[in-house]
Amino acid sequence: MSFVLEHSYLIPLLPLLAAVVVGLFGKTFLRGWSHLPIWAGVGAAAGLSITLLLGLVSEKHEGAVGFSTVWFEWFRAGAGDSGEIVVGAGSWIDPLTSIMLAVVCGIGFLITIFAAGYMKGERGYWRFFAYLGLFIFAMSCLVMGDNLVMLYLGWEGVGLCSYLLIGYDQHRLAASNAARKAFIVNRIGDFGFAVGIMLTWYCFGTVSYFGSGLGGSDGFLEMVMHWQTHVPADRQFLVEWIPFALMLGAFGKSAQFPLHVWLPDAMEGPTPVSALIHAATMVTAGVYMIARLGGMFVAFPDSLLVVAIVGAVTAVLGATIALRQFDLKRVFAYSTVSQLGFMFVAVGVLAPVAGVFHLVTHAFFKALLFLSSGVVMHATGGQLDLRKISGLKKHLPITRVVCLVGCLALAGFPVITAGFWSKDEILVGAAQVSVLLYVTLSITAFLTAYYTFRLYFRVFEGPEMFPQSAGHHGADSHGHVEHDQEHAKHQDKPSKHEEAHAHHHNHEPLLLIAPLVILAIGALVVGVVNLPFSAGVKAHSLGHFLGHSPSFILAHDILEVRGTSIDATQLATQYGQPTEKYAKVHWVAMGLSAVISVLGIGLAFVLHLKDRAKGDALAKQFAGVANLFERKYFIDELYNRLLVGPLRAIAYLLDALEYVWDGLASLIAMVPQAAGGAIRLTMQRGYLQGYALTAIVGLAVLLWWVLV
Amino acid sequence: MPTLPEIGLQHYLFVGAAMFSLGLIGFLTRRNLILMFLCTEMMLQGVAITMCAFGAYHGNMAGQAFTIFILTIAAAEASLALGLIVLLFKERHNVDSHAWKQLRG
Amino acid sequence: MMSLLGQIEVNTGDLHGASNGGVLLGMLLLVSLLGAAVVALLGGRTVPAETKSDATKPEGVGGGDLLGRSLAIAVSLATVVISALIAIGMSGPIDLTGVPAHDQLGETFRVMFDAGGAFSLDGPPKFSMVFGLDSVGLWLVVLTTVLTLVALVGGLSFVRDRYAAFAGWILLLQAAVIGAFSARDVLLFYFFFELTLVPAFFLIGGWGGLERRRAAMKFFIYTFAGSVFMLASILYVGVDCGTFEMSAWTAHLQHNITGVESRWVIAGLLAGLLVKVPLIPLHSWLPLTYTQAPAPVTALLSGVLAKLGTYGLLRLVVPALVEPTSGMQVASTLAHPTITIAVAVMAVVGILAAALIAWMQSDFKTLVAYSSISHLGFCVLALLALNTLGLQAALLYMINHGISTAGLFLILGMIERRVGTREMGLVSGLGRERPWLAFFLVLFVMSSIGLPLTNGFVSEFLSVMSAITADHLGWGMMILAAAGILLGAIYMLYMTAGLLFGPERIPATAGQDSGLASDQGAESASNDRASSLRRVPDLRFGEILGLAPLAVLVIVLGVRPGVILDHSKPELQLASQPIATIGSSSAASADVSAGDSVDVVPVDVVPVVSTDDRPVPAGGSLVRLESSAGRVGP
Repeated sequence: MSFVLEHSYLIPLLPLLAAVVVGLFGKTFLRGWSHLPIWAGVGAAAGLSITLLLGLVSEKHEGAVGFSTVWFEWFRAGAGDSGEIVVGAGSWIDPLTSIMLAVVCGIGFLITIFAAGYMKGERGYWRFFAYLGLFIFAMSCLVMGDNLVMLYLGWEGVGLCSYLLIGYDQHRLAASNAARKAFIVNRIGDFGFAVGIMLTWYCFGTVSYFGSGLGGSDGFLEMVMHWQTHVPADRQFLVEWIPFALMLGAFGKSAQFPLHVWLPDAMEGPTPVSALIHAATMVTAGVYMIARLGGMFVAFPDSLLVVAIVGAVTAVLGATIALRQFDLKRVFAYSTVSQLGFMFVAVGVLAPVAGVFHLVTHAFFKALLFLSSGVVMHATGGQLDLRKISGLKKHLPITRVVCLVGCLALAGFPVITAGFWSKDEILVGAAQVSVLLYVTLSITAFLTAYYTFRLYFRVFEGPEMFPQSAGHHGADSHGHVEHDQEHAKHQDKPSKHEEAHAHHHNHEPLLLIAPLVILAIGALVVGVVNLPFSAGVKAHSLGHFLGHSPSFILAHDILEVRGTSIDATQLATQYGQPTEKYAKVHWVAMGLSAVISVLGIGLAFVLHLKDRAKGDALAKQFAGVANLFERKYFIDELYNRLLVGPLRAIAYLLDALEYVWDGLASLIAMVPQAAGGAIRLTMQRGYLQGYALTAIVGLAVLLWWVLV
Repeated sequence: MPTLPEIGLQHYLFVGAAMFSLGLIGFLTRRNLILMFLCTEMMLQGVAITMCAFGAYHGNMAGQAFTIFILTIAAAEASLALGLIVLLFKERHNVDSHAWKQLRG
Repeated sequence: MMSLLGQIEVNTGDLHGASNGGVLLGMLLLVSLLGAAVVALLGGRTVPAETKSDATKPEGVGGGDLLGRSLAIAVSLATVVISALIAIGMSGPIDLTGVPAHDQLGETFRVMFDAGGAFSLDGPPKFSMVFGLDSVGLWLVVLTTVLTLVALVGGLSFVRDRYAAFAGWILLLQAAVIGAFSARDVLLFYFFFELTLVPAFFLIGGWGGLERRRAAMKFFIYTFAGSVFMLASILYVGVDCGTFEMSAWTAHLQHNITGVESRWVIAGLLAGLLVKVPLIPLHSWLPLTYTQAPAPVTALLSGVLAKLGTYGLLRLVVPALVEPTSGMQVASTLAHPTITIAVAVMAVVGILAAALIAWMQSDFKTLVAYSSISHLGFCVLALLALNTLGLQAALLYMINHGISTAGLFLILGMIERRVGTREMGLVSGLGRERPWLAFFLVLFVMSSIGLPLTNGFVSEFLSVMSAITADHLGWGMMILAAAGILLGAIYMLYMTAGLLFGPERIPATAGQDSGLASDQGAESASNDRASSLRRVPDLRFGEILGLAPLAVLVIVLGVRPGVILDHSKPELQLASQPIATIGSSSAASADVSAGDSVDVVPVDVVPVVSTDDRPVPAGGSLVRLESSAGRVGP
């Protein structure tokens, strides 16, 4: 472990190097072997991350644990008259970092394996893997950075990779538009983030979380407890806006309302990308940010309230929209939006451990679900419409099992799945803050169970509908209109795996299935890390582990010192040891959520397996609501009308004004021109005598002036 | 019978000025290119007389020497100008200066 | 070359503080000037008849002006090497500069070159042909030489006739720009500032697009009209002051010219400089010029010429905006709050408006032209923060904008040549089959929208941040400017996604005019992949070679911006402080604030001693700073 701590730069560097190698040689030399350098780079990073995690877990700790390594000084600017900003490129490694790293690199590695099978024969294979390497680089910078600018670096870097990977299928217009939308919506969030960083520096004089190390007070997270003494008086009014500015960034990256609109569209990207970036890792960056900057948020409780409310709204929004989506990947996309809402509620109600716990379990089961939808897509020739496929269990037996595991975890099926334990923690956290929040989340959990199994029962159970002859076998064709046209154009170029498929009918090749199985096991057992009771492992071991992270400790200390409008002792439990009252609430909540989950699954069973006609009839009965859900509450349309439209109008007006302004400039230029023209017409008429007379008169005047 | 005054500087200057003025008036009033050209010659001679007069008055030869120069230049100029006029005449078949007013550009 | 060197030494030998670096600076000017003449004269020989008549040979590849080509590149390479030597010398590892030279105010110019001493007609004002480089000018000169080389190499594929003449003008442009960046005399600065117009005029008019004549005329007259006012201001202050020597001139403007007078003087300076930058109400020459000029020239226009404006602001106007009495205070107070705020508002409005207008453009070159206006708004805003952070950010911004915008114009020029149009609506999906083209376009776009680890990020970030550090700008301007970054992403991505992504669409006429298409057989009509690649090929090796230096700089300056930031800090720290009056040398030399990390040690070069107890990061570059005491004087 000490090796990893000393050489922490290797974790981002190796995937980056691999990406560079693939970028340089992929097209010409590596071609179909382009995945090998990435496997090596990401695999090594995963190995290092897991070594680090295991090392940190196995050591006994007292108090805060955190290791700071400065790689190099990135930039330094300013002086006494403006204040100096020093930004180092360096890593901060503590329990939170190590867990995030393990998730990012570990799941990232599994997905690169899957991708090698899934993307086989695609054009631009090397490009895809170069982007993946770049993504792991940026994401590990994001979670490892020891200051806000490093976080921002990773933040923008993953945004770029997301942009490139969504737009990977470059010949499809939808993919190109989705890529652009993702980047721009993220940029709206990043605008807030950037402002937040600048305000942080302006107020605290540093952007480093913990400065030179623990115990000092040269990191802004350390200063925030007594910010009144650290921030100059004339700048104090800005401090409370910092968390709001920063959270805008989190909302953008983690697809929270009102910036959630990009994530479902991002499903235009290849499925491994959806799994890695848009489900397991990148979109959880916002949760990581709020957990990491816990102190900053806890010091200004209003901001946490906003986070919790936005999280709850997003959870409900995502779940209800998911009810009426028919595209497999879109259901999962909205489910991701909704689950991220759960995580935001968790960090918002001062239960960041629950948030991170859910982040980890969600990374497993959502990656699993996306990858299995990839296998389905692989088998059905890109057909993912719930209305057109059914009863695939015979064709995809293994996939069906692992997908069932994923669905159970997502639905929070009691006891045996990891999702149950993590969601439960969040519900308990919410219950302690507000009953309303708890009820909202419980309803959402019920909806989640319902739509998850609606999907499962429709796809894998019931009468068989297997559109094997769907024709085009491109990894990600969704059957939208423009895709069909495109696909007609490209049909003359069968990809390799299409041929392979036609000959062997093996829908579940090993490269695709092995990562799925590993993820499925994870989705079942990973809940063990934070059980509310001792069972082989200590109760709340994740909580205890994360409790050593200085971010959590500082946030907890602020709670104790400052108190909040909410009962501080209750809340403090989430940051430290559970109290008895907490335990009591917990058992009740656990029972309730078990019942809710089973009820949801049962309802889905009735409406979508036993009697599908009944389900359809029900949908018809509430056509208005169903339509609202199906059209995503018309939020995209609303944005186009209210934001994009006016902005375009202003831009159009300004563009038109350009002509006016340029005309004015030309008008000024016309003054001397006109004067010249006037002289030409009046005095220069072409009569020799006239010129002579003018000259004489001029001479006379001159003589008069000189002589008289 | 009144005695004629001695011919002095003023008289020469008067003649020179008169020739210059007559030439100028001629240049301004006539439109025939040849006449206009002759008028400019006259103006030139007026100046030449003035210079010679001053040269004699001051007792040095500068004025006369300069006049010789002017005469040579004027001769060259005359041949050029007449040549141009012939060309212009060939073009328009008259020697009216107004015929060329579109040369103003 | 040796005799040349000797001659300069004779010239500089008896002058104060002349040093090896000064010789190098003189060489730099002479090499580019003489190089321009030599290339234009020797390389311009007409192509032998037999080569000309050889119609089947692709145009521009003929050996006819091989001499001109190789000479031009060689001269440009030589200037790059010389400027690099100066940079290395001034950065420390090799002591090339010897003892820093001081001018009469005790300001340090680390490299000086006196081309002919001072002279004046019948008493003051005095005009002196002195060139000097401090770290501000240095990096701009390096940028100039590098961009010139890139433009010349790029020109190899863009300019298909009279390359030697083209290269000659470009080299003359380079000489003029270097002269302006290194002039230590305001009138000399003005001379070179105006001299740049001549080669630019002929370059636009001679090698531009269809409307090149109008563009050249508009460019010349518009910018010339602005600088006439500047000349008036320069003369007014110079006559009053008795000398045009730069630091004396600025000190005089700051101290002795007050009230309405100074307002008019500053307004005059701004008229000349802001047109050149340009800021938004004074910009209407730019779209036409940038679109009509050939790509390498546009790259130089936006990459280098625009920087003359911001450089002038930094040198001449910024000192005048700081209250002279504030030398001992932490924050500078404003001498001209109205002017400062007005220009800052112009800058912010410019950032937002130009970004929105750029979004509306369908012509990708016009789009980038407007983006240039928007971006330089950040630079001007940072300058107007009037503190060290702002000036450092502005300097870095000048360099970075030069790199990324030159790269953008070049790559877009290459695309334009291939597809034969600038309309984004007619072209899409180029990225799929052309990885190099896509890579460079995306890289420069990312640099332009300020993605971390590209050079654009640090400068944009610091520029926006500097707004909040200046009390007169405040957080409102910061947020508006940050919104400008957001808008920047929008229009740039519209362009990038439009050109690279989506279904492949290439105009039917593409590739016919470029001289790049290798073979246009009958099958070129079919929309087949191979034929589309033949008509619109990926970047060729030569083009990649031309863009590679810029790409390397994008990454290097993104990762280690300290090269410029740290190096220029001493000068810029001084620049943000009012200049001492003539005679009183130590007024501004006292170190200004408690939090400052530079200790006052009256030696020329001192290692930095960090005053806060944070240890210097391991593995980080220990910043070598010069003490501000350098200005105390010899």
